[in-house]
Amino acid sequence: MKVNVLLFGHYSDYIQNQPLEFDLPVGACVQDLTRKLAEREPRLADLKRFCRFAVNEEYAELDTKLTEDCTVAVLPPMSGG
Amino acid sequence: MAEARVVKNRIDIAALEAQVSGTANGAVCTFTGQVRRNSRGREVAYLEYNAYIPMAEKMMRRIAEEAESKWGCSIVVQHRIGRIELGEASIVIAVGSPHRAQAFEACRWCIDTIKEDVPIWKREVCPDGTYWIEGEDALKADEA
Repeated sequence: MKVNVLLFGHYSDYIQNQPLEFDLPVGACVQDLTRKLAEREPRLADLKRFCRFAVNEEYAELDTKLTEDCTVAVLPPMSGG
Repeated sequence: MAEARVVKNRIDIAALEAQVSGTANGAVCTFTGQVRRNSRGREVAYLEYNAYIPMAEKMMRRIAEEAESKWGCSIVVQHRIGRIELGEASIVIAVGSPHRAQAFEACRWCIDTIKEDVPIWKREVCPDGTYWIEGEDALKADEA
């Protein structure tokens, strides 16, 4: 199944202006996606330690199941305000 | 009904205050976050804010609605993104309430919660380079 990924904060500097798409087996979860990201770009290896994740604009856990054509956002500690 | 938006232009503070200034309210409390010249020893030229816009608006609205129902007040929030100059507002939260205590508390809770949970990030543009601010960390940006 197709999964779209959005990177934010300094991680967005690593993958510049290219849409990030992964093909994952049905039943895959956020954690499975983090492995794929680490394979694609070694500087994305530590996301689980530093980031939260959202699936379709809602906060998700590492074991949250992904769905066809969903969008996963990688959210480092925030600095709005 | 709370209103929350991510905007690209200057925030009109008076317009937001007017939105929550109904005559049932005896208090309007406004928080304005503005761009500061110094950050942890670095001199800042200006800031650039980025957001995951749809989620940021959804989260800000949810936070404002929660505060409205907890403190019985009316809230509007705008967060600006893009380049923001020193002294300009990056966020404005206007809270209207019958009494001041609820207005102060709701306003304080909103800004604290927004800073934790709303997907917006700033970059400090300084004379020696650009830094992503991520929580307590400042990370030099890749300026390829």
